[in-house]
Amino acid sequence: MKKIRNIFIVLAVILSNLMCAVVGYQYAVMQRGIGDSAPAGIAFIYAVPYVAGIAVCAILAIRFHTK
Amino acid sequence: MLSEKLYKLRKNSGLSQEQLAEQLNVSRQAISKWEQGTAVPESEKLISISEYFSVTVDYLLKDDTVGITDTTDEVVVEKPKMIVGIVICIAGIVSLVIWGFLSIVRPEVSNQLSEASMVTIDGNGIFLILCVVAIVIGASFLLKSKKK
Repeated sequence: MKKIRNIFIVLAVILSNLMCAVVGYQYAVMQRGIGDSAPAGIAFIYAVPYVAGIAVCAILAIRFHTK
Repeated sequence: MLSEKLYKLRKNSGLSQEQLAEQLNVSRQAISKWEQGTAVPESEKLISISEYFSVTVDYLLKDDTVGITDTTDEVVVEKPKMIVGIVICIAGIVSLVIWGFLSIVRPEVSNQLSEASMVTIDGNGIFLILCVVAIVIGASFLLKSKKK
């Protein structure tokens, strides 16, 4: 159980770092996009699946910690 | 009654009084007295008896309880569910991580995925939704499975 808990903690950390990288990159791409109608702030929508993944990893890490 | 239950449990396990005495670290005479009802095992021995036969102490002492504590079957049934949940969850997370890397390092792959969509939702959007659905399904399997 401890191993599984640690795996989910590591995955949560990886997801959080990757979320920052992806959102930052997409923001920069959209900001440079000429003729695009969408504002650059739309890039933050890419954070949604990562936040969901981080939340699930955190819940599962806590669950396996208490088991 | 404790004496009757002890006798039944011993007989169902196919043990003689000597064999049970050996397992519980007591004398054969002690087992005989317990089964005749002329003596009562002390609390430590009661716990040993309950653990040996996988019953509760309540079952041994009370007249109206059913107290079989053997849950190995339930654990066996729950383990595959747990493994499936872990696999689906990690598959969703790993797919999300790979997509993230590709969208930064090889954005043309992300564009191809986007153009592959035949519906109005962006191909990237569909893929991300699938990743989240996989993570949630895996997590629900894991949270539902419990060890008693």
